[in-house]
Amino acid sequence: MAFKKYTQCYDYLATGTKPFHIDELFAIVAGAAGPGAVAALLSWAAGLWVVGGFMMALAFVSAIATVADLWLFQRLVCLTGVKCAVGKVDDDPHHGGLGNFDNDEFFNLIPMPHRKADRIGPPGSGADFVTAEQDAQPANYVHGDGLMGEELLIPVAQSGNLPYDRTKEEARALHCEAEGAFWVRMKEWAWLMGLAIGAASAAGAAAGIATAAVLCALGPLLCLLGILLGLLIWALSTAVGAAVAAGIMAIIFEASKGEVEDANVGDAALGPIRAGDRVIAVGEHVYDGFHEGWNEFHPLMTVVKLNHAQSSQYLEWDPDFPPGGPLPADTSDMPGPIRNLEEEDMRKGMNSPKFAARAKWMREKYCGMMHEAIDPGTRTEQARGRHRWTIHPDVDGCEDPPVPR
Amino acid sequence: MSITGHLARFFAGLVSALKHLPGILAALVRLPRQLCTLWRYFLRVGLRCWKPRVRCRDEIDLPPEVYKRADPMLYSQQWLMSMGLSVTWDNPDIELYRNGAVVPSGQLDPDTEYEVRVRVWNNSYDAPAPGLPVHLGYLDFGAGAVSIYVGHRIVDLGAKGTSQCPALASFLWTTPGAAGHYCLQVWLDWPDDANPQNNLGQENTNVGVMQSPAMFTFRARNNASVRREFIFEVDDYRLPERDPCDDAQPRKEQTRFEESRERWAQALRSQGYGLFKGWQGHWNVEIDPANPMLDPDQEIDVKVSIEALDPGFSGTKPFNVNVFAVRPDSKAPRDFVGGVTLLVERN
Repeated sequence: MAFKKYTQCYDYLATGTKPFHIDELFAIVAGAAGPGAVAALLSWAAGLWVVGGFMMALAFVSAIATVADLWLFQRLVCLTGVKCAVGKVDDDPHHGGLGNFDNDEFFNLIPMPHRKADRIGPPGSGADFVTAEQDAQPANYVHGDGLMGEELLIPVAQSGNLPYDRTKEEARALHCEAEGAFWVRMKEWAWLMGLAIGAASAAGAAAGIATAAVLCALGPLLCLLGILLGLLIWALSTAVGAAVAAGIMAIIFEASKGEVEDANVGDAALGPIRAGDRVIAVGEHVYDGFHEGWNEFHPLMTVVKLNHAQSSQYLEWDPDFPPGGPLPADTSDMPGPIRNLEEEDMRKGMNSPKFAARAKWMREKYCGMMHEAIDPGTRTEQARGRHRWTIHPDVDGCEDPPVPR
Repeated sequence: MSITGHLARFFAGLVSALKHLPGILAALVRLPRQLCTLWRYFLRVGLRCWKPRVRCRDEIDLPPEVYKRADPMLYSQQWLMSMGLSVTWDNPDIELYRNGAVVPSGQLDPDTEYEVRVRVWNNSYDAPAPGLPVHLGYLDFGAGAVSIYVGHRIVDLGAKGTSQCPALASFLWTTPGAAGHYCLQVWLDWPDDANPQNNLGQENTNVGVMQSPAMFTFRARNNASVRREFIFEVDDYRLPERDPCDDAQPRKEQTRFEESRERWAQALRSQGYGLFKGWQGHWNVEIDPANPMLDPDQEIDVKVSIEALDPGFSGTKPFNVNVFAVRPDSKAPRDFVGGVTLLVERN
């Protein structure tokens, strides 16, 4: 089963169009919804409650359609294509919800062999502060590591002159985002939600205007109170309509989750990804311009956990590596020059040629295995009968017929 | 952003809304159908969508199409038997070699070095298992069915259909000095396993030349802390001949889970436990004692004599003796304890 992809990154250098940014949101929504909203107010002033409600719905749908398109197609700038990273899940994974702009699930990945505390670069590079250990072993600056930090987290030619926020955590830990269908579903179901909001808003407008009219007949002070009360009734009623719309979305999301069909009989339930998990992540390398700008994986295509129980399977710089501390074990497939790490290698991190070579070798090995798994040629091979067994090749497998001579 | 910038974006929003207008109005046509769909959805999910999801702050539920788990596995008798299939103890994934030639595990010399080759598969099309530990141990029946650890190897297991699947692990193992019979055990240790039940495989065969009858002895041990009755069941299951693959036939449109269920159903029909009783009437198999009652940690020799009723039999015939244990005063289902494949030979 393929990962979900609703967004589409675009070529910034070819189009010259700046990515959709949060600062533009209000003005764009006002522009898209304004005419419908004004028409709704005028209709209600004229006592055309149903027409006003419809206009309010139209305003909502226009705003959703406009923002959804910008969100999906003009927010992410294509960078270097599908990439693979190895690292550790940061301590605070997040999930979007209806309260956010989308329902993407995301986490930040501290690239191997860095620690959470590691900064992107020396003073002047935009990092909020630097650590003395990194000053002493500067190859451990994330943006100068000669590995994933330098490859994935620094501005690249494809993002041109777009700003890059070096103060954010996302400048030193790779933001990985699995896509949710929030904006696609919003666009699809906008009329239903818009009409719920429009109807509630129209009812509120009618009740509000009626209340104000009654109180205005009793004197100017009460009229002022009536207007305020009328506005409150309208606002509350519109809020009820918005709550109904949110309920509609909640039902749609819950019902369209689907089943986990990409499994074999006997597979255990899928657990969560936890902070501290060491993982291989594959995703499309893009620049997200909605905030101040950073590079990320969007959509996240695959995540696989590494074997955390084996010290040979991961590497992390430790400038305070204790004398006599447990060194990472070697495996039989490791080339000779990267075996037998010493305490000093652990303390130097990427400043140690052996440590750096081992980190590169591990990343290449893991990512090589992942790339082979998702390669179209492998997918074609996997569809062949000899790989369709599910119990054991000798129990329910088949055999390629002999090749005729 | 400057005022002019905001104004520009305002007009951009306006123009965009106007551009969308025909599509927006056309979408109104879908409204009645959407209302029906919404009602159907509501009947399906009820109010459960309003319940907040419970999860820890440091966890994230990635969708299954993104979060992938490897399923390292080998021929696992416990798993297959628990799913209702017949099993052989002549494990296709565990082979012994001496001087490059395959040696049956039932014909090992004492104090001799053998190479044990283990083949490990991955039942996941998406997730590799780099750095997979493969452990080897054996039950030394000569020393009283005690489990003895040999060692482990780390292998890189690729996703199914890649160049690194299956992966091979090779061990050098020297048999103990005292003559005996060994059950080799291999287990895989993968922390994020899609199915951890299929990680233990055993190789336990014994070869006997039929001299009217062929005689075998194996040991049975009650590892439980309660008294149990042992039950021995015999079948002549062997791994099926594999059919030739037919890649010209287009694959059915079905999900992986549907395909998996279909294959299990087919295997249960053709290889289900209890189906392989065809030897009865042609062979005489006697087990002594037939239903021993063993105290905790008690261990006994079990003798098996096998004789062909057809005097003209020649070749090799496998018999699987599957061993179950049950508490006599309990209604709990019987436990599957283990087994051995006895190979009867006559030239």
